[in-house]
Amino acid sequence: MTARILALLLAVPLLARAGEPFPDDTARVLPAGRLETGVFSPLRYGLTDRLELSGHPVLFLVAPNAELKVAWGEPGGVALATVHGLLYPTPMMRLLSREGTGGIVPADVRYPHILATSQHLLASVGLERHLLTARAGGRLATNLTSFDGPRFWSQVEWHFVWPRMAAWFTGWSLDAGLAADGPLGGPFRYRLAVDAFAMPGLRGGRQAWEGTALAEWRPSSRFRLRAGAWFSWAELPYGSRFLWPPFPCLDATWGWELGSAPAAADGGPLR
Amino acid sequence: MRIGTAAALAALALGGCDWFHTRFRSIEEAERYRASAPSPAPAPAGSIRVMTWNVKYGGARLRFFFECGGTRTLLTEDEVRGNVAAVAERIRAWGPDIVLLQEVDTRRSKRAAYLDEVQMILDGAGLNWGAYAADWRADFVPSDGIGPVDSGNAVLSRWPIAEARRIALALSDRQDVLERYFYIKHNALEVRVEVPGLGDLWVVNVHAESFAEMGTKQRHLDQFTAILAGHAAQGHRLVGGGDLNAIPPTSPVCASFPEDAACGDARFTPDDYCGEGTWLDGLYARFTPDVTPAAFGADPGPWYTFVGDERFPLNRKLDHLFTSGTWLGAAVLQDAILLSDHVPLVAELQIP
Repeated sequence: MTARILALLLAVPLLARAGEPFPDDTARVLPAGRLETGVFSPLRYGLTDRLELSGHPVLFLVAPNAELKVAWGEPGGVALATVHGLLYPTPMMRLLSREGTGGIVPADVRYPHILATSQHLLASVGLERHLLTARAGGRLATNLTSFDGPRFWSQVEWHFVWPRMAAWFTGWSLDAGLAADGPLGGPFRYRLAVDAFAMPGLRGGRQAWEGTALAEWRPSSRFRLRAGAWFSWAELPYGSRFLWPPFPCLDATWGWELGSAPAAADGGPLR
Repeated sequence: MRIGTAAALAALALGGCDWFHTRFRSIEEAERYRASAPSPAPAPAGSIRVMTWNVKYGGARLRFFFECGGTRTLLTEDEVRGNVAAVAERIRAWGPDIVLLQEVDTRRSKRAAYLDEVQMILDGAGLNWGAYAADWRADFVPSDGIGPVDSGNAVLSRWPIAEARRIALALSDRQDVLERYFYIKHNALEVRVEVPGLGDLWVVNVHAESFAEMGTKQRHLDQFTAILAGHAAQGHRLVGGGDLNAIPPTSPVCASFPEDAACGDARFTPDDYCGEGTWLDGLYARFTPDVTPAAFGADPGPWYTFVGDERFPLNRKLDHLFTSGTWLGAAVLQDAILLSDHVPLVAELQIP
């Protein structure tokens, strides 16, 4: 049995689709040796044609984090990948526990040591020249030391943050999403996504929805510019809120081939 | 997910967004409350008892970060329940018909443990109707760990509140654009109470800016005076008051109050009312105060409503009540000194 699983794992690289730039948020991985980084997006590196390592380098200094994406091939034309993340947010939250402007957490609250993981399954399927990606999974977290005062003193009750840190206070949360991306013409592309979050056990707000609408300019495999809007509806302790106008998104990403694997042809739509 | 933080902040600074819901229109409907178990509301006999009290959001005498030597920002649920129950019980014991509250929080305030203090006081005080207008509302204040906040003025009444409006007062000029976006936006809460056997009684509740720089406090007092004068001109039966953050012109001390002078906390800003001696003149000239400046000057001690540190005696009168009618009497309940940094002021309005 073990030998059959090993054989399957070894065979997966032959099945997985690699070699395409900017595969973030899909079930595809970077080709081996390719490095991508952005102003806001994380640093990603293709370890092999089925393993991709990523992390936010600046954030890493105050919130050590890493993600590993593992491609599991494309059975039946559906690319599968799992993403496994690890985060230690305590140093960052202690920096934000301060007096005055920027004090997200009260200065007299000492943030506990928290270890959080995220585990997601991604499935991408090509439809003509477009790519549809479904994601499902969740977050698990444990606090290694006690909360200082009531737990709600350590919470951050606002869009985007609230659903992502929910597991720090309840131990777990679930999320799922659906995204589509594809060409618009020439170097321009789009990405549309919707995400749902369930935070059972969280006091005063147990679900959130987010939507993303992005336009991309991708003149080559070495550069991508993204701009768009990030929508959010969330149940929060003070009521349900729809973020309007949506939060603007703007990011530039660069890519380099550090290894021997060839990149996709410069310019032009993918697939 | 990528966030264009710089773009977001720029948009916020340009004023095109209200992502944190901190803004108000110039006039808005106030939020209404009903008691969970309404009590009988008979017609008044001879007088209407009115109380004003800044209840410090149920924080009692805990030291908060903006107070001398304070570190606290948030309350626990037990602290809020205990302190607010004590405030409500104190109100019930005095049996006012109308209560003007300042610095009372709702279920949208993190510092009040997401408990609705307006409802808790309304129920605990044995009153029936309430109206609330926020003067500090933000989905999240990214400073000092405040987070979500919703705090303001409330009017509680034994009798039905037929109308209730939030009237915006001038915004503070003390801060930059971003800080002002999240800062307190003072209001006057104007309500019309239907008093059985008497008719309408208009009540205006205000909490003026604490600091005098840039003239904001004076503008608040002028606006409050103008609102009252507008009602008086229409012949309305009227009560107005609240925490005016202003002292009578005959106050023996206007700065360097003992507890402030003893404070070495760099973040603490001591009160200084010197140079504000005429700011209440318009109110004194047009309306009947709970105590006249002359009577106050002759014996100020019993009229003091505030001290920043309970280890010192009360030493200034910041809370006031005015009417277009006649007060039969007034008193300050100074033994409530441990329930807030202010103590309640009660006055008896004469009715025909």
